[in-house]
Amino acid sequence: MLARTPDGRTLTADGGPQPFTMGWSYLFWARSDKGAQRFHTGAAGARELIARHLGEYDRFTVREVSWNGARLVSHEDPENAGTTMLWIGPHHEVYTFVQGTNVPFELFIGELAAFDIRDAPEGVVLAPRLGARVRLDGLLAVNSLEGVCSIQVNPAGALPTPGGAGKRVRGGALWKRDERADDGRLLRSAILVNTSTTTILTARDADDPRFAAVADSFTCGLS
Amino acid sequence: MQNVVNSLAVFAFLGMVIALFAISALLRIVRELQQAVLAAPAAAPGPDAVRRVTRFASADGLPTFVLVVSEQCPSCRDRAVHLAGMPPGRIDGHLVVLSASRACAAWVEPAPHVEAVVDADLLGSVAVGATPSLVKYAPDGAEEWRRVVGSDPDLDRLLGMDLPESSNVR
Repeated sequence: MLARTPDGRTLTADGGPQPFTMGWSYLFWARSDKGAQRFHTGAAGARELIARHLGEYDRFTVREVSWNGARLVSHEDPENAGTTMLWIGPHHEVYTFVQGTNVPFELFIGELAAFDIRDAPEGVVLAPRLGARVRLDGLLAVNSLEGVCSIQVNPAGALPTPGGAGKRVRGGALWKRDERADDGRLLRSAILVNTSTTTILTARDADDPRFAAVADSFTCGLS
Repeated sequence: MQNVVNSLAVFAFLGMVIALFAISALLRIVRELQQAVLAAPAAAPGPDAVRRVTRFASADGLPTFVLVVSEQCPSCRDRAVHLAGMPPGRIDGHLVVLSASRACAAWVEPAPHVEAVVDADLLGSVAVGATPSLVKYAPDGAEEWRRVVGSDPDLDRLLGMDLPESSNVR
C-alpha cells in the first residue's frame, strides 16, 4: 500500500495477507516562531464519525463555512471548553484542537494559510508556503491490521533504537517486548527498525499466531 | 617576447582601471535606487486603511449588514434562509445578501426586507475569504467589521438580536 504523508513523503507498507483497517491517519506538528500546533489528518468525515461513536457529537456546537472550495467545520465542546477545527477536503480532512469556545474561524484560516493544501486520494499534503516560516515536524503515521495489531510508524531516528542486535526479519531488525498490565493482561508489542522508519506493532491479542507472522513479514518504508 | 609581456601588463592594468570605473558607476546606480526606495512611501501614500464600498452607503443613518454567500456552500444557504426568516424591523439596519449567482438571490426571495445583490465585481471589491461572512458598513459606506458566520445563533449574535435560551453560544 502506497500513501502520501502530510509532509509530502511516500509511505509504503505491506502487511502481508492481513488487510489494513483504513487509510493512514497522521499526526504532526507545525512549528513556527509563535510555537507549535498539533495537526491530525484522516479520511474526510472521520472525526465526526468518531465523535458520534463516542457519543460526544450531540453536545457539540457545530459551525460550518466554506473556504477556498473546502469545508471548514468547528466542533465546540462545552464540557472541556475546547474546539476542534476541521478542514474537510474531497478525500481527507485536517484538524487541530484549540483551547476555548467561540473560537473565530479566522484564527484557523490564519493557521491554514501558511500551507498550500493539496488533497488527493493517496493523501493530503500540507506544503508550507514560501515565507510562511513554518515547518512540519514529529510525523507519526497510524493504522491497524484488521483484528491483529495496531501500527505506528515514526521516521527513523524519531525514537531511540532498543539496545542489542534485533532479530533479522524481512522488514529490518525486530525486537519484541512483553509487558504485564495492572490487571494481569499480557501486552505484546514489536519494534521494527530499518533505515527509514521505526515501527511499533502492538498486538490486540498477545497469543495471536497471526501477530508473530505479521511481525516477521511486515515491511515499511518512508521516502 | 619581452615586448609582448610588457604590453600585456600595460593592457591588463588599463583594463583594471576601466573595471574600477564600471564598478563605481554601478555602485552609484545602486545608491540612487536605495534612496529612491527609501523616499517612495513618503511621496505616495498607500491605499485607505479602511475598505469603503459606496454601494452600501445609506442616507438614513442606519448601518448596512451584508451577508456574503456563494452557491456551492450548504451553510450559506442555511444562513441566508435564516436571515430571510427574521421578522422585518427586528434589526436596526439594512440587510443585504451579496453573491455572484442568481441561485443565491432566490434563497431570500420570500423576504422583501432583505435585498439580494448579484454582482461579481462588487463581490470582488468586498473581498471576503470564507463564506458565509457578515460585513457591517457604516452609513458612509466604510467597513466597520467582518466576521465569518458559522451558525445561525452566531448570525443572530452578530446582528445584535436576543439569543434564544436553548443556545449555548455565549
